[in-house]
Amino acid sequence: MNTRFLALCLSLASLLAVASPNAHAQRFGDVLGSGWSMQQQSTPIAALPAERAGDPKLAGTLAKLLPVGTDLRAEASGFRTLGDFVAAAHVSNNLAIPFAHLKAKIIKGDSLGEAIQALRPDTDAQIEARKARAMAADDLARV
Amino acid sequence: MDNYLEIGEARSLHRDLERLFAPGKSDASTLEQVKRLCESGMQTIEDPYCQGVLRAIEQHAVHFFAAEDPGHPAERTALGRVYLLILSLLAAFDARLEELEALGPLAPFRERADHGLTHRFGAY
Repeated sequence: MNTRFLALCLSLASLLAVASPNAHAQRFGDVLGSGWSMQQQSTPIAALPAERAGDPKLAGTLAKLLPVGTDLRAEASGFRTLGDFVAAAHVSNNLAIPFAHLKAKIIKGDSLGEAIQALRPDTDAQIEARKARAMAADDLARV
Repeated sequence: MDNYLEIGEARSLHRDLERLFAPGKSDASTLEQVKRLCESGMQTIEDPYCQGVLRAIEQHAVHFFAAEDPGHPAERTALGRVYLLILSLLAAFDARLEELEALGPLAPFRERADHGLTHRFGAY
């Protein structure tokens, strides 16, 4: 009986070790970054796990939005969240704004809406930002 | 729907709405155009399902095109969901038109009978 109890305890301990709090926190943080949460993710994109940034599904989606041969990790650097990066990619594609111009504005501190307003004043920047954020959240929910 | 002509008009309305909600196509007059199209569609298209979808699109559009951008991330997230919902409603509208078209010119009368729409003539 004691041996079986000890074996059960050891099994539980090993399970907890595999599913460490850090692992949970990281995955939860990824979800927060998708923009579907009450809180904004503060983890920089560079700190995201490699498997997340290089997710084949997400890379496939982004490849359709950005020019061929774009280095996704390099372009993602500087964005506050993965959601911000994907939303910017959508805006670039939707409004035919060069991604580099958009990124420069956002890294400087502009919001997505402000960046659109500056680069494409003929559109409703706020609405276009909403659409892009929604599409980004949808993309990230599928990953 | 009374005939194929009406389905043609409904398809045209659907295309116009899709254009207004497409990424990169919004300006200050978009909401007014959406409202006008939905109101007009609800009056001319007799299919109750289509009317319900158009009503929902109009109501959600009012929320989506609200002037103020919410400061709280959760509210911005909710607006994003509204946009995706509108796109889904447009897809449902399109699917319903295909369904009516496939059923043939007399389908609307059968459909009405199925829906029990006797409001025009009263219940017999």
